[in-house]
Order: sequence, then structure tokens, then C-alpha cells
Amino acid sequence: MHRSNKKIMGIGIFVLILMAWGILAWKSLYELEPVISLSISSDGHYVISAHEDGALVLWNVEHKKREVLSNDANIYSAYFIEESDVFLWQDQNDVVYIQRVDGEVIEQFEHFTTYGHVMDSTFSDYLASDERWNIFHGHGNAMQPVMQDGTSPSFVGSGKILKITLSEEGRKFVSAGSDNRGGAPSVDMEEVPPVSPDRRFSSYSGLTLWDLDTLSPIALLPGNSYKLDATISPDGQWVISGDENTIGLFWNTDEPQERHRMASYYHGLYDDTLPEGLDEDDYWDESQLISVPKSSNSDQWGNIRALATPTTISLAFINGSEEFLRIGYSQYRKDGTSETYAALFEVGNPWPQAYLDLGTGPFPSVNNYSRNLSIDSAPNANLLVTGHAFDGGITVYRYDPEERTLTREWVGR
Amino acid sequence: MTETLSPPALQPSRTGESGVSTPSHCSVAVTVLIVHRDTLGRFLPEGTPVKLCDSEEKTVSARIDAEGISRHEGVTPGKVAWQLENTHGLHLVAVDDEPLDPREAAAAPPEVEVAIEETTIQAVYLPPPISLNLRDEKTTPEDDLLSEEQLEQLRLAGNNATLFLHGYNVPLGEYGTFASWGQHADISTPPLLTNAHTASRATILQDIDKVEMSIPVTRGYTANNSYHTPMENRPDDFREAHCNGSGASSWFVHMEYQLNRAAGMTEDDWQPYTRMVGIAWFGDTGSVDFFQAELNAMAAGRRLVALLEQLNEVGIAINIISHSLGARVVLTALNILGEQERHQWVDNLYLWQPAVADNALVNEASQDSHPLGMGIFPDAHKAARKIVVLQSQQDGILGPPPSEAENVWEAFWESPDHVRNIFSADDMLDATLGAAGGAYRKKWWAFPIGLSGPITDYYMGKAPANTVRPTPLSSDPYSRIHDARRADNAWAVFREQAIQEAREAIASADPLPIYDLLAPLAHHAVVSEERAADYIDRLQRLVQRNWWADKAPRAALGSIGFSALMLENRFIDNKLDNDDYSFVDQTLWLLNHSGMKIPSDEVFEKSYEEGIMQPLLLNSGFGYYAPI
Repeated sequence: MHRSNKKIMGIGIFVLILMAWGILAWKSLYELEPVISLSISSDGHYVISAHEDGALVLWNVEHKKREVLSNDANIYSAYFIEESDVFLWQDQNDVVYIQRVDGEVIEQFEHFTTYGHVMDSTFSDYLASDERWNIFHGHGNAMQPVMQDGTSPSFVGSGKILKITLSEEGRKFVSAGSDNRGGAPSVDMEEVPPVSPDRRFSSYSGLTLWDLDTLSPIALLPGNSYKLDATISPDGQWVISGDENTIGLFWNTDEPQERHRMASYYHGLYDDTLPEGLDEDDYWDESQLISVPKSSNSDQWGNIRALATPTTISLAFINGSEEFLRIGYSQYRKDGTSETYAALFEVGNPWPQAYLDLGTGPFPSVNNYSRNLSIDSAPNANLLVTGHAFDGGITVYRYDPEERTLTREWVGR
Repeated sequence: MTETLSPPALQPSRTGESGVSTPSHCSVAVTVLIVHRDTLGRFLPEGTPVKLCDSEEKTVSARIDAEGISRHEGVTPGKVAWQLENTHGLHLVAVDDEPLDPREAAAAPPEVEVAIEETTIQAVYLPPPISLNLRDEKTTPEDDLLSEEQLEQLRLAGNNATLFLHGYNVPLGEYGTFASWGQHADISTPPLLTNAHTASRATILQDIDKVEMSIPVTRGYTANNSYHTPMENRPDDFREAHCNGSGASSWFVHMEYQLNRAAGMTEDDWQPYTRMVGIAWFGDTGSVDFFQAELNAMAAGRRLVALLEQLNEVGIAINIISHSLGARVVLTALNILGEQERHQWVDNLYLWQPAVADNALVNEASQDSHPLGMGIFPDAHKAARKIVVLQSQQDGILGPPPSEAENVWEAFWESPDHVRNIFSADDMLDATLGAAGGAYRKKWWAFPIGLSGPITDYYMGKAPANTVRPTPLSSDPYSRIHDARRADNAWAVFREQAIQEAREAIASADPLPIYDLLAPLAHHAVVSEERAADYIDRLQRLVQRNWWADKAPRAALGSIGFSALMLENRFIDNKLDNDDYSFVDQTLWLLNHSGMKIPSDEVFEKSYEEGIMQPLLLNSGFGYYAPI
């Protein structure tokens, strides 16, 4: 080979190596690890997210930009305070920051390592959970236990964060962990108070409705099975729940003893008050059933799969306190059978109103219960935001209440 | 650095009959009374020999009397140690209210100071393990039942019984041996008394990380250096088999320990330790004969009914945990109970990685895709209050991981050495077959044996000629017509024989008759004539298709749970909605089929504690553990 050709080839290889190194360097510097927790501001303008590698990212939804604020965030700590431009986060030295989107730190304090925390817009009610799903109110010397009645179930055992949601308007909050009671009756709240540190198995870590002023339980809301998600409507009127065992329930908080079932996506409502011995069809009310989207291909077992599953990872109000999405837990499957359709419900109505697709590209963070805080909504802005299953981006969806459609507003990476 | 300990010296009760305390140097000989009880307060059996060794290494033997006391006279004052002889599973857990680690107590029996003329020692032991062998042929009805003593043990231990059924390809095996003091990492001083063989059988789990069984390193160079022969600990699997036994016994030891730990027992105090009821069945049918194992499972399930009847009759609460194909054993029993309208006898049934079809728990037999109608247990749900399925899509045996369903053949043939061991129930093949899409899915394959071998073997000498073993068709068209006619006639005879068997069984009025031709339908209490005819028709179709099933096996319940059924089956949907059925998806943490035997911390906390024990304690019971 001619010497000049060799030289050109050598330069070419060098340039290629340089380019490859540049791409790798760019990816490592710029690419984010998957979101573990995120929260959207009430107006829908901002999302704060904490990522697997400890990055804390502020996403400007309006201008479709992002800014990495820290690289040592507690990965479960991203939380936007309602009706404000203030968010909470905790660093890996366990300092909690109350911070504005412009960077101003309003307050900071040391706390235990939190596994989910919330704060009201007056900054007076701060609730945080530890890895054993104990809940504490306040911080420093003012800290007091709210729920501390056992070490199991817990984040360590169940692998999900105890979800705490506030309704400032209703002056209530709910906590949702895992209901492992297996149908055992609920405890008497006076007999077994929520602060009973000597106990091992918690009675309150399923679904519990609390009074935000007294920090006492209003009611235990039993009926779910194993890992569950639940939220309270912004007006404090409704609690909705769903779990990994497909049970969907709702309560009007004025009558917490009255439990209501969501209809089966596939078969409607079962009437167990009818006498035994009737034809199977007689027990099922299918009057308001709508069809569930199904896969066009069969899975590896030859099954045609529904693309919406009642195995629930998250529930989120999407239209004020009127409508919510029940989002299913699903793995990504190459054969197109992933269950990425969320069911749309109206409050007080057990029937699914529509099935709305979150899509598979990018695949939303619905495949791991330990990332259950990576899904949030801004009900009054009609926005839903999820992390991605396999990269560090977020997807912002806009719900159209008139058309009852869900469209992807922005895929941020 | 490991802290080494000598055997614990314990202070006995020092109240002599005279009420006077005497210094040890003043005594010539003393009498030692040992009161032997189990943790349930029962005196140990009268006549049990007890060997006591004093500080001068003199042996003073005695037998336990009706009050549970062994009286040892002429003992030299100072330290004494003792052990029981000719007993099984009675492991010492406390002396004079001081809890002991029974593994250490077995390696180095505790040494108690005796000084006064009569010293009384209170000794507390675990009750013996309870197991039932449904493998061996039954010779008397009592073979399938617990003894009165065992029932009493369960009554006293919270009036509940937790049954465990192992999975496929598990031989009976045997219990392990307690590590001796010299093998025990925590014991450095020779004890006064070393264990005799009869006391060394271990029915509780030992931590093999604390066991040192050194052997010379023989690789290459020891022969030339007699002054310094390097030593190494024996491999984990050797120590595991030595200490914790093999086969079903090993499973029982592991599961019982983990269940106790999940219920709240700590290593500091073994007194709450509760014995489960281990059920051994004949599932070790060879490396590829899954179908025969299924038949054996159903036969064992039929026998299990007697035990459930016995427990129910005496009012002992029943909970059942099964692993893998053990699900078929228990579902057979529950299906029979359900058919007999014996409802809700079982408080909780935990099917751990069940190797049955995902629709096994639907209530309509018509949905069965098994070619012989063995896939569904339509009445099993009636016999249990609550059924929990613990499933994992990553277990390597029951199905492919969610996104790796492709390249089954490629992965399978890449590891031909492992094909021989295809169904040995150990972890090595979990990984191999996981990559190949899971072994369970291949259970109906014609190759290498599939359904043909076991059925043909089973009906050898039972079925008429030209049925399950058809003669090859002649090449002559005329002869073929005759062959076909002959085969049809043979099948008609076979059908009539089966119907006759069903008819006679019904006429016998036996609630659980013994079937011969209809044994593959053993999950039904009584086989109707119609079902018998249908079975032979299915069998004929299968033979005519050269043993190829017309439908692929359904996914395993232990792999995908109920996820594919919710859409198609209202019954399952409703059962889930009412929390009568539930599932624990372990896909993210249970990464091999037998991963619960030696669980990771994650499997322990997520599956044992939160998936099983917490609800079990809350709505039924395990021993005396409290649900707090």
C-alpha cells in the first residue's frame, strides 16, 4: 500500500476512535439514569425528578428544557409542593431542602433517610416515611411518629415506596403500602393504635385515611391485596385504590366504611348479594362494559392478551377531582402484548370510561414497583408524567377531558 | 476474627432435699435429677435412656420415668453433661430456663455444675419432626395418618398444622448429621461428652458456614511434604449434604427453619420453634419422565385426603405450602374434597412456583387443554378459604423470562450436556432451561418421552392389544382396512373395560375407590361412566395422532400466574376480586425454581415474611407465634 494511503487510513482510524470516545463521553456526561421518583407542579410547568444515579433534575415542561440540580439526591425524594413553585428533595447526607425552581433554598434541615415525603403549601406539615414504612410528622425536635406499628410490611419487604398523598383542601392524607392481612379483619384502632413500636406486623400499612390536622387515622380502608397504590382526590372527597392482585376500590371520605368496587375490565360487576344457584350470567352486570383493547399478536403461549391490566402500579387524578387513571403494571414484551393502556374512571362510578394508551416507545416506568413514585399527575392542568422503563427520560401526557384522549405532549431526555 | 467458646456452663437449681447448700469439696457423690420436657410441656417418653457423664468422665446412665425424670446416682460433684439415646429429633433448646442453640448443644452438650447431694436440672427439648411418607405402598390405612402422639403435638402447638409438599424429582433422602464440636467454628474446647450416633441426627437446619470439615489438599503436591499438608474446607455441597441431609428430608429441614424464622423465631431462643408436617411423595421418576411424576402426584394426592380428614376431624387448623409439582398432589386432594362438598377445610393454600397449568384453578373442566383431562382441578377451590400463588417468570423451569421467549432451540441445543439432567430438581438446570424457555413447556413433547412412554408402560398388560401400543399399519391397503377395524374393536373393548371399572367403583359406594385403568383421573373422587368413556376417547385420539397433543400446554401457573386468564375467565376474575385467590409476583427476586430452599435475604423477606407468614399468622396460625 502506498505510504500516503496508510497515513490517511491511520488518520481515519484515529478520527473514528476519537469520535467514538466523544460519543461515549457525551453519553456519560449527558444521559440520565432512569427516574426513581418524580413530581409535577400543580400548574404543570415543572417536573422534578430523582434518578437512579442520584441526579436531581428540574424539567421545564413549558420550554422543554432540563437542568441537573444535583448529583447526590436521595433517589426517592423528588416532590413538588401543591400549588407552588417549591419542591422538596433530600441529599445523600440526609439534608432535606425546600427549594424554589429559581434555586432559592427556603429552608433546609437534617432528617432521617426518607423513603417518600410530602409537605403542604404552608410548609407546616411535613410527613416522611422511612424504609420500614413508619411515618413521622415534622422534623428535628418537633418530629413525632404518626404511624409506627411494625417493621413489616415495609419497603425492604415489599419493594415499593409507601405512597403518601395529601389533600390540603380536604385536610386529609392517605398512606398506601401493602395489605398483607389476607382477609383478616381490620384491627380496632383504639385497641391497636398506629403508634405501637413493639409490634412487628403493621396494621396500618395497607391503606389508611388520616386527618391532616390531628394526625390520627380516620379509617383503615381494607380490601386490597398485597402491594397497592392509592390516592386521594384534590378536594379530599374520594380515595381510590388498586393493587397487584387486580382489586380496584373506592371510598367517599364522608362514608369511609362504605367500600365500593371498580368493575372488572373484562366481565363487569359481580353481584354477590344474589342467592346461590343462579346461572353464572345472572351474577354479572355487563351493562356498561366497554371493550378492552387487545393484542393483535398472541404471546409466546398462544394467548391473545388484553392491553390493559387491572394489576395496578399507580392511580392518578387527571381532571381535577373528577376523573382518574388507573395505570397497570406491565413488563415490556417484544411481541406487542405489553399492557400499557390505562383505564380512565370517573369518581363514584365503578365503570371504566375509556382505555388510554401510554405507548411503548419509550416504554413508561410501569415495570417495577420500586419505582412507583415515578408516575405523577397535575390534575388541574390535565397532565400525567411518567419516567421511562429503560432510560432517564420522562414523558408528559396531556389529557383532553372533552375528547377523553391522552396525547404525548413531550418526551424529555 | 471468630470468637471461640467452650461449652456453656450452666447453673442448676441448687435446692437440695435438706435445704442446705453444700460446697462441692464436701460431697463424695451426688444424685442428679434431670426433668426432661419438650417445648410443649410434655414429659419425654418413659424409658428413654439418658447417658450422663461427670467430671471424672464416669458414665451414669438412667432411664426417664413416668414423670419425665431421669435419676442419676453416684455422680461426682462438678460438671456434668448428658444426652438422650435412641431418640429422634429431640434437640435440647433450654436448660434451667436458659435458652440454648440446639446445634451447639448437640456438638457440645451443655455442662452443668452439680454440687449438693441432690441436684435437679430442667431440660427442654424440641418436639420431634413430623413427616408422612406417601411414597411407599400403603399396607394399612394408618400408614397415611398421623399417630395420636403427633396429633397431640399439633394440638398443643397452637392447634394448627402447616403441611409442606416438595416438588418433582425429590427422593426421600435422609436427615443430616450434627457437626461435631471439632467441626463447629464456634467451639474450641473439647466437651465433657461427645455425641453418640443416635443423638447426632440433625432434624434442624445447620449453618454450614460455621462448619469446618477440613481435608488435606491433594491437588498435586501433598505427597512430597509430610510436614506441612495444606488443608481446605470441604465444598459447600458436601457440608450441606452432611449437615442438612438430602432429598425430602433436606427440604423439610430448610423450609421448617425458614418458616419459623419468618414467624419471628430468633437464633437466641429456639423454644418457639414449630414443627411443620412434611409430606414425601414419589416424584423422583427419572430425569425426563414428567408425566409419570404427574400420575404419582395424583396418586399421592388421593392418599393425602386421609390426612386432611384426620386433621379436620380433630379440629386442627390446616395450612398447606407446596412447591412445584407438589401443587398437583395438594390440588388432587383438594379437588376430591371439593367434589365431596367438604368446603373450606384448608385455611390457606400457598402454591409456590406451581408446576400446573395456569388455568388449573378454574371451575370448569371443559376448559382443560390437557389431552387427557388432567389439567384442571375444578372443585379444588371449594376446599380452601384462600389460595395464594407465588409465581416468578424468572424461575428458569416453568417458562421463559418475559422478553426472552425467542431462540428456544438455540439455547436448548447449546447445552447438550445438560439435556441429560433436564429435570433434576436442582439449580444448575434452572438456568439452563430458563434460557431454553423453561422445561415445563416441554412436558408434552413427543421427544424424548413425552406422554407415550409412561402411558404405554402403565397400560402394559392392562389395555387390550392394538390400543395404546398399535401395530404398525400394513403397506397393503386391504390389510390396512382390517388393521383399522381391529384397532377400533380393541378400543371399544378398552372403553367398555374402563366404563365397567367406573361402574363397579360407583356400585361399591366407596367414597374414594381405587382405580386401575382410570388412575390418570385420580384427581376425581369418583369417575362417572361418561368421564371414563371420555377419557378413553381422548386417549384413543392421542394415540391416533402418534402421541402429539392437539394443543400446546398452557403456561405454568407458577410462571405467569393468572395474568392470561383474567380476560377469558370470569371465575378467576371474581376470585381475585374477592381476594379468595391472590398472587405474589416474585419475578424480580426469585430467580430460580428452588430459590426458596436456601433463600436470599430478599426472597426471605418478600416471599416468606410478607407473602406467606404474615397473612397466615393473621388469619390462621403457625404454632404459637403471635401475629404482632
